[in-house]
Amino acid sequence: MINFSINLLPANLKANRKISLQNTTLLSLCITAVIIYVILLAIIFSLKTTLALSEKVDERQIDNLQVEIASFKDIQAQINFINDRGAELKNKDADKNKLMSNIIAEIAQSTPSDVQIQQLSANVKTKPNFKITGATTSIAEAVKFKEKLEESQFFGETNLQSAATDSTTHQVIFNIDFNLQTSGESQK
Amino acid sequence: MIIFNKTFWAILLSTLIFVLASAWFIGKPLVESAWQAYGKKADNKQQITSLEEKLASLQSLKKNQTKVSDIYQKAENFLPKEKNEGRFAVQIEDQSGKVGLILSNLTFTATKEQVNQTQTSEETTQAQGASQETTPTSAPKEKYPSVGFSTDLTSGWSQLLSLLQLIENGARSNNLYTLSINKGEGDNLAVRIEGVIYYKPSVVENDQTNTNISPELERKFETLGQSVPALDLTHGFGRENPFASY
Repeated sequence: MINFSINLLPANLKANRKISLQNTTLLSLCITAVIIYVILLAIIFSLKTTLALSEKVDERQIDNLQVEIASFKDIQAQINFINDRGAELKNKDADKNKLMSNIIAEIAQSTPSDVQIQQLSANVKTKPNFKITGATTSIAEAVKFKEKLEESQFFGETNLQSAATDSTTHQVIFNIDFNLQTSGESQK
Repeated sequence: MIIFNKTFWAILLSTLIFVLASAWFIGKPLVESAWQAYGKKADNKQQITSLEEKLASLQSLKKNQTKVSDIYQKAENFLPKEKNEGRFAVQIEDQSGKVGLILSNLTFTATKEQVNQTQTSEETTQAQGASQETTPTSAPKEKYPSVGFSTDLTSGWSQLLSLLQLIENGARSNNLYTLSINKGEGDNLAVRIEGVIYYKPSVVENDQTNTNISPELERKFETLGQSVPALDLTHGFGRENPFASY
């Protein structure tokens, strides 16, 4: 047996029904989209509210921590002072070549065995920085002293100012002046 | 087949207008403020972590208060806020005693505020006066205000060397500028030492480091003034006392 389904409604009525069904479908789709959109906004709103509340809690915690830290004001001041002075202390080892004890030890080391220093004056504020008056057996020894000072990494320009033999003692009395090595001079 | 009639467009457009308008006027500010709150939350978390670390560090230092106070005293002695020349006088007297010397005198000169290099050169020129033998040079720049000092003493060579080492490696920040040694009777030397001691009234605030003392710094302060480095006496003619007769 064969079944037939025949819509016998007039054509315009059929078209109206089709349009009405289409519009109902569209409306329900739009309403669904709006509902999803509103739910999304609600989620974002609740998230924002939660974050705002959490922010207040955090701020309160920060305030509490700052109050607690402030109660250590004295020790904090001490540590700050120690670190401030520490910066200067760290630089202390850097300029060993400028220490007077190292400089005069270097002069002593540069003095030949046949030379006796009689007078030594050092002044890092004026040039020449060092003046030495000494006695020795010969001019060659005074020159040897001068050359040894020149070799030193501590000292720069060295001059043998004078050398004269004392007729009574037969000693050669000499004067040498020299300067500290400056950063501009080449490394020896 | 879709039929685009007026009702279709009305539903579609009114939905779109509603969604876009509410997105612009409600959604956008809401998302912005939520994003901002999220960023603030991250910042706060970081700040809390940093403050908690700072607090923990301070609590730990508080437990070692005696040690911190001890280091503070040494730092204060090294570069004090005020001149404290009296304390230095005691130190230098003590240092002289250690090497068996007695200071003939100890004089403190006027305080110098921080000066620049040009001013120092000018002052040096004036100080030298009529002397034609010496020419002024750029003196080391004073980093901090200073008090000048000078002392006269009679000493042997090795004692002098030890004393200079003790002063220069001592507990107080100083700089020796002038040294005059004249041969006296026997092995005695007539010595004049001039220099400056520094002080620094201000303290530079440094929030990054003010809750911690590095172990290296701690060690440096603990050993400050307690030992002197050995002099390099290996490369010359090996002369022990250049003022001794040959």
